Amino acid sequence: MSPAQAAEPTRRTAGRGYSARFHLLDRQVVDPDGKPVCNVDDLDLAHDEHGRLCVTAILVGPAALAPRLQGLPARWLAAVTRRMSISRTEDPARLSMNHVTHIGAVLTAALPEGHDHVHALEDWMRDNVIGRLPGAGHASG
Amino acid sequence: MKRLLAVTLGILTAIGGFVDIGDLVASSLVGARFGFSLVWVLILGVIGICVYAEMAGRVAAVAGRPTFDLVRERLGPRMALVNLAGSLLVTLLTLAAELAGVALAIELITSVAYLLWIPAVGLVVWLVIWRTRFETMERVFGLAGLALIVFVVAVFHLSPDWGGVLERVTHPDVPGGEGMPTYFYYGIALFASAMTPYEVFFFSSGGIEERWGRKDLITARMNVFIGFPLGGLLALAIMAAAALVLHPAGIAVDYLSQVTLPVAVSLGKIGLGLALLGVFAATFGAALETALSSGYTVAQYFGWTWGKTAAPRTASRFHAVIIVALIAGMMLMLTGVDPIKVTEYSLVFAAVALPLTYLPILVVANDPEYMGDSVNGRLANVMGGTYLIVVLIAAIAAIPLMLITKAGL
Repeated sequence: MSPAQAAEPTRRTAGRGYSARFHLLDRQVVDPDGKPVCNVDDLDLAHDEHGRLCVTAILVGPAALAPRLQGLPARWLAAVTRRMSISRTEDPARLSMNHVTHIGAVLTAALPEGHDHVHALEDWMRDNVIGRLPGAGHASG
Repeated sequence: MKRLLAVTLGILTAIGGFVDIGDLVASSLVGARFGFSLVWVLILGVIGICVYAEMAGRVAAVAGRPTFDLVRERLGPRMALVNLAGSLLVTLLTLAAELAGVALAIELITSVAYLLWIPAVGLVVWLVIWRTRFETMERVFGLAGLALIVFVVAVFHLSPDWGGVLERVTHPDVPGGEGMPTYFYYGIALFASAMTPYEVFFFSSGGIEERWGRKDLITARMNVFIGFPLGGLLALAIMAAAALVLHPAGIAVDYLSQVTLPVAVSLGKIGLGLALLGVFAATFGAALETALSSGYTVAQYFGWTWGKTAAPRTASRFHAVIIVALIAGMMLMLTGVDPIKVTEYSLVFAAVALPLTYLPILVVANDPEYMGDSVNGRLANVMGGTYLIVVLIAAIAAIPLMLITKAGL
């Protein structure tokens, strides 16, 4: 049983409550302005003081997604990630659940300043490729 | 007037789907080879894309979610990756063919070989995506593509025997010399061209780029019910013109120049000029649509920041995908591969990818957690369900038919 499925019965209270599988996994995360930030590629779970499982963080990036794909696609994605990796660690980026302010059709997260680690590839691409092209800072509308 | 200009997103989407380079040739080829006997498939496809584009537009306006976002959420990362691979292949092959299509249209005007134009065309497509406003882009290319209405005029000017045409449309028969599998192979290609997945990706993402909200539901519906039938009408006119002029003369369509031939026969030089302008705008619009669609699908699958309206540096991975797609498309075409063959094959793969795109739209359009009271009505569900079965049959039959008929020989 995957951790996500294991979380389901413990967190679901009658009538209300969130299913990790249907309300969290593979949902888009947006910032308070509605701009897409990342996808919920996997979840980090921990036991609280009562021994119940609860979600502590959203795991982001191909390193988190690859193990969920299984088989050939998982190996390919992991291989591409390893070659394109900018950070030194192999661990996926984490977005703490404390930042999540709303769970609906999308998850809204109030991101702290300097959350670069959530999308290292975006930063690299901006600094080294797209940002260097003329007009990159100009919104075409 | 403002209301009318608001439907240009639908018109551009439909032109990219119905009268891009592949369809220009496919419609014309089908008209020349099968006369009016496949018109029913085109009408079936137009209704199908209206049903699903309406749902995708409604989900975009009410829940604010683009289509590929739903695909990953409802199918899970594994099946969505299969869909991403299939749809992206179709979109990239189509993009490559459109770049060649624009270059071919310029070749017809300038007599300079199309291969020389391809790098310039790729650069201009990128510049338009990089710098032009979304609204300006869809108005210029959507409205200029309407120059293809000259095909409708040409058909009327040829003054066919309308009773006979209606008889052949309503009682289709396979013309002598053509086999049943070939007939259905082209039928599926035509159906897939009407319902290509990148149309809903572009349409729903475009709606979000234009910041549609619940109040814009009417705009979304007008886009669907004016834009797509208009695109279908253009494709129909191209097919009819070929059926009236080329079919009786026994001319088979192999080149873009033959597509415009019926207009030249019917209306002379001015007609031909307008047809060439329309072909240029339609293929250019389709190139923009497919280039943006490849960025939209990849970014939405991985959850990256995307959008053409914001400054490119804020969505750098999205823009990087578009640049890579354009370069790959240009390189594929510079090998000298026949662009028309490329689109014919891509349409068959499109048929296979269709069910994985349309099922999640149907599921989410029925989910009150997303849609509130704007969930599907009974009509939308009956039509959606019926078309899902049609799409599934087309998907299963596409590859075997391609092998049996040796790709429509």
